[in-house]
Amino acid sequence: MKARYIINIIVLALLQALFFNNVRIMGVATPMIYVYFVLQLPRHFHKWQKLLLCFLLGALVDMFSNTHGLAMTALTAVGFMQSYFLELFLGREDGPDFKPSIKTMGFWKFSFYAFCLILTYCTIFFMLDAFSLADWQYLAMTIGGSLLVTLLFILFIDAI
Amino acid sequence: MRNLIDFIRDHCHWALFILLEVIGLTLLFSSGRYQGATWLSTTNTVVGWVYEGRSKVTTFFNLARANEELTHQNVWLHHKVESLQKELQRLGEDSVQLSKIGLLADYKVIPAKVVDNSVSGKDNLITINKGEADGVRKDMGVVSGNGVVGIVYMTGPHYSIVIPVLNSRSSISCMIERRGYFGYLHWTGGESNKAYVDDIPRHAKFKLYERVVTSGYSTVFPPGIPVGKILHVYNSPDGMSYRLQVHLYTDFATLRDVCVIDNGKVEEHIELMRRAQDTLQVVTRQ
Repeated sequence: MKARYIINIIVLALLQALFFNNVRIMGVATPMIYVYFVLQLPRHFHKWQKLLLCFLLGALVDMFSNTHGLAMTALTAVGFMQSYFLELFLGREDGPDFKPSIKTMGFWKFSFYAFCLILTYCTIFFMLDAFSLADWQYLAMTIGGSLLVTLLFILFIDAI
Repeated sequence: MRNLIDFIRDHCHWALFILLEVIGLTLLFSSGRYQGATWLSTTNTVVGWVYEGRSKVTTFFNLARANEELTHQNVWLHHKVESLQKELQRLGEDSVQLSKIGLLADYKVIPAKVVDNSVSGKDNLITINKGEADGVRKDMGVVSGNGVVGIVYMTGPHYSIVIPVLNSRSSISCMIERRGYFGYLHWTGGESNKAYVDDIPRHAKFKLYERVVTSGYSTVFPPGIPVGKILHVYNSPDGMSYRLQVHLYTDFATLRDVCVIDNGKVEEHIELMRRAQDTLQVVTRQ
């Protein structure tokens, strides 16, 4: 079971490195599809397990993208928040094995859940990257653009 | 006691979260943005190997274009060789000029291939498939068949990272060919074939479409390596100098074959000359 998640991490990091890192729409928006891994972590996973898996994925993304700890820091933060965010979207009948997806949550609910987590990730990632609000318009466009493109790709991947 | 153990068990993820964030932030902010651990970069052998595999596949589809470019370069080089031979004959036994040519021969080149490259970001980086084992060191210049590419920033055993012209941190000393006015090449984002040369003095005389080449003021690049041609002239923000927009000769989007310039012997040569001059000054004073 856990081995499957490690394989998922490697596949998503490779997909990002080999294809999605080269995509830049209108000079601002880059799809960061590896965030999908955090979104679909099941409810029954311990929080420390989620943290370690996200940290590992972040390290791999940093290695392939020369971002030196940027993805590691942002993904660990989102991995930490995922459990708390997920609780907000759960119903009474959802058991411990609940795994977030369009199938289990419905399209709109999953979209909103994904929107919240991707927004958090993009904000942490790009704000740490810029580390300044001097060019706030460019920063806002990068966060907004990457959020939308990532959300679209993730919804597409989850739907197939 | 049991309550305490339960509390620690339930909240141990907080401690782990803080620890992992501290590790991430330390890597991110230790000694500047690009100087983190080399294993956490594309100089890592496994990562380089993955990118090299992809690069081999994409190169196969660009062979026709690469061939065409090589043919153009060949024709240009033929012309250049002829004109240089004439120049050499004209210079004859001028020892000062000949010593300059001798200095150029001291540059050793290390051929390399680009395995990862981006042109769309604000701070693009290039990974090449040569590292410390091949003699590549930090601060060496990198050129392509068409012109300047960038400067080596980080080296691993078999791969290195280059800061190309298309990076906001890049600054390369260059001059207008045959005019001798110096400036610094910068890139501010946007189109990957246009950059700016700042600090050209107000009294400078030049024409549009003239060539900009490396100045050779630093030992990173030999003088005369093509950079681009002048497209537009602007006033600098403070009005004290000109800002030239140049069309870069290097096509960064399809960059594949590059050469790293090993300047080791040149630096040694310059250091020796500097020491000789210092000794001469001391002797003259005495």
